Amino acid sequence: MKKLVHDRGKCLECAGCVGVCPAMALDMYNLDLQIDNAKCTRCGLCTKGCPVGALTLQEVADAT
Amino acid sequence: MLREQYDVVVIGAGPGGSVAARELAQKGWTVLLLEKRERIGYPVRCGEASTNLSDLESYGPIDEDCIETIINGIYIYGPNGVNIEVPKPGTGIMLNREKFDPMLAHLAENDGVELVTLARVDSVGGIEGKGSGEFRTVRIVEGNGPTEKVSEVRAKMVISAEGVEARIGRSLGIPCLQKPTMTCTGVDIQVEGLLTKPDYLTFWQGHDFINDGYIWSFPKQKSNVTNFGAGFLFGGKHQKNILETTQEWLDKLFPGSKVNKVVGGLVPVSSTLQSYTLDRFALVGDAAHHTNPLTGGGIAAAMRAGRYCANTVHQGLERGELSAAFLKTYEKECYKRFGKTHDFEFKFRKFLLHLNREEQVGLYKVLQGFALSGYKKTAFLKTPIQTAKYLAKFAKFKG
Ligand SMILES: Cc1cc2nc3c(=O)[nH]c(=O)nc-3n(C[C@H](O)[C@H](O)[C@H](O)COP(=O)(O)OP(=O)(O)OC[C@H]3O[C@@H](n4cnc5c(N)ncnc54)[C@H](O)[C@@H]3O)c2cc1C
Ligand code: SF4
Ligand code: SF4
Repeated sequence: MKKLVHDRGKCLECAGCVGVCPAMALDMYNLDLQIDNAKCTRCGLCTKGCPVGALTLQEVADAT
Repeated sequence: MLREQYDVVVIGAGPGGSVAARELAQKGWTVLLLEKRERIGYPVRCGEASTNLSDLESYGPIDEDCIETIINGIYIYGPNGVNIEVPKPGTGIMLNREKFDPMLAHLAENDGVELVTLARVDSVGGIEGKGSGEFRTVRIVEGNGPTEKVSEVRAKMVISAEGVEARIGRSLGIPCLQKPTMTCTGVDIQVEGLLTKPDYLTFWQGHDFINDGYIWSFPKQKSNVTNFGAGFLFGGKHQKNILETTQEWLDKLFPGSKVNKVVGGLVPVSSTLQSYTLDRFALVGDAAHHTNPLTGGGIAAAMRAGRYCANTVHQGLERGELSAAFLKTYEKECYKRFGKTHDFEFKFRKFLLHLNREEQVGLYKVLQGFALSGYKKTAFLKTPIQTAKYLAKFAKFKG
């Protein structure tokens, strides 16, 4: 099972990922990226749209 | 304390939102401007190159602090050493957007706009009420975490200048999603000192550099730093992300550069959306893909759109008519003033992208000839066959 993982240390707080997510699973609250795992389809588009590679889909045992 | 009802609620205090809000408040309407970030314009998501000073000043007095450099021309490094220089005194400005964006918002505030930061619009409802009493409900979350407060206000008109995120526009069914082949991902690395000609915008474009985007070097004289950045289509076949790519080009072109900070973001390059107004709702700026699809410049376009939107909404409020059909006036104005040019530039960008290296070098030579002659018609006569060839190719090009 894959899960979207966000690396806060790399993140530029640019909100780009929010704009490319077709599932509306991402939002920025002030400068904090919010991921709604229930909405995320693991399509990977945000991992490409992110300018710094701060988002990755990673294999995890429990993706909830 | 928020009111129960406003004539206009504007979402997003970027350049587009602040201009729209201010120009409506100046006409006497009650305007609420909501920005979800605590600090307006921070972090900057931009290379900060913009339109000329007199154009900017048409929006109000611009603080000296916001202006970094007066730009007097552009220089483009093209494929195979075919470079293009276009001198143009006063053609643009390098801004300091960390100061410029808050300044625009405060101009709006001074003219009567109620500005609330750390206020995120969570949703905008459908049309309620009847006739001249129609409104949309705007749901707002103020603050963050445990201290957050949810409230609802009514708006006769909602203008959303929400940038590339465009969650509100999308939730109302407008197709403003940023698509892989129509959107650039970009970074801007702020470097100590001035790397390139101090009053020029410098670019590297084409097959020898980045083909589905470009590299830039923009000098900020006052701060003595350079915005060195790059962008490319995020759906392209790139092995590395844009930060790694830009860092590599920086090391190659200007080894030993001292990096201060990095910012980034998305740039819509699809050209303007087909339609971006609904009854009592309109998008402005990046949310409507008003960005120039060739240069990626979106500051001036967002401000212009903000102004045209305010004009139409003012007329609509006076007449009690804010239907989608009426708001088309605003879309038409944008198309006339910059949208038409953007559509042409969109086609040109795709044309450039589809040429192989050899063809691209040829095209750059033609453009170089035009630049050398100062864009006089006689330039055409120097390379008539080449020029005609590319004109014909371009005319036939379907994209
Ligand atoms: C790397 C990069 C380089 C660029 N370089 C240049 C350049 O050199 N020159 C140029 O002209 N343009 C450049 N641009 C483009 C330019 O930054 C944008 O076109 C411009 O900022 C668009 O203005 P706007 O008002 O439409 O949106 P923005 O400036 O993006 O403002 C939108 C605001 O809305 C807020 N918001 C979003 N959703 C909500 C919500 N639900 N509730 C409340 N607030 C919300 C956001 O926090 C944001 O502050 C660049 C962009 C990038 C990413
Ligand atoms: S993987 Fe796809 S669905 Fe999930 S957050 Fe990223 S873009 Fe959205
Ligand atoms: S696109 Fe990347 S850098 Fe930008 S906010 Fe999202 S995770 Fe952070």
